[in-house]
Amino acid sequence: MTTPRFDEVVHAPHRLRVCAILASVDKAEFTTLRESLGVADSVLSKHLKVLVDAGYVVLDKPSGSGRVRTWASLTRPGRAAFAGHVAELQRLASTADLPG
Amino acid sequence: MESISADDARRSLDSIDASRQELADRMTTPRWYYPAVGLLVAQMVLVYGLVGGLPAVLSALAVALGSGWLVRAYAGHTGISISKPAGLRSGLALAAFALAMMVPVLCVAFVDGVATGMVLALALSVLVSTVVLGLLYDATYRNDLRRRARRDPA
Repeated sequence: MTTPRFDEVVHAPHRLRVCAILASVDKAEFTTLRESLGVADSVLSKHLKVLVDAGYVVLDKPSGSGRVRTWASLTRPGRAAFAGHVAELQRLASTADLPG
Repeated sequence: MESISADDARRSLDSIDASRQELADRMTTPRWYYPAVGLLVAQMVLVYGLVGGLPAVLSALAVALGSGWLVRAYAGHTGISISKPAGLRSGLALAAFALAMMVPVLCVAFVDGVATGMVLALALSVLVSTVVLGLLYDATYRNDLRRRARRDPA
């Protein structure tokens, strides 16, 4: 069972959405994330850097034919941090539902 | 720790939900993908059932290389790479998809003396079932993702 744990790195709105997408897939391309979030390249780069520095995301630029694309994926600690943060959000959201 | 209210927490959960919904909408498999998978497996059924020997080995090699290329092409087209089902229903749909491809191949590979007409029928069936069950898997996957977004965002 996931232990609820608030995570400052994950909680920022754009980073939360990046983690939500990456938690559902193996990896996602930079352009896909940028279009999903509706932000500029520089904004997404900044947030990805924070996640990479925290050890939550790894970036991969596979070489091969065609243009080089950047792929992002959640690390195991990243998945654990996101799951714990969501559990904490659910706990906080449910507190207002309690009587009294 | 930053202090957030219950309403803030709900809004954050809603944004996770919206991201998952948007991801589900984005997952559109290229029209050629499942017909290409079906053709790859159908040629394997035909070669195993009608020819055998070295061509069968080359046919299996073509499936291995072709499916690897298709997976990369899918990821390049959608900008997303997936290797696991998103829930129980899509898991069952994936199992049905895999079975529909494997059974005809196993029939022609391990049953001796399969009639030519039967081999042709199996090849046609694998082509059709790959397309139909592949599309069913896609739809089920998207539904599982949307359902999971509402019920279990993590």
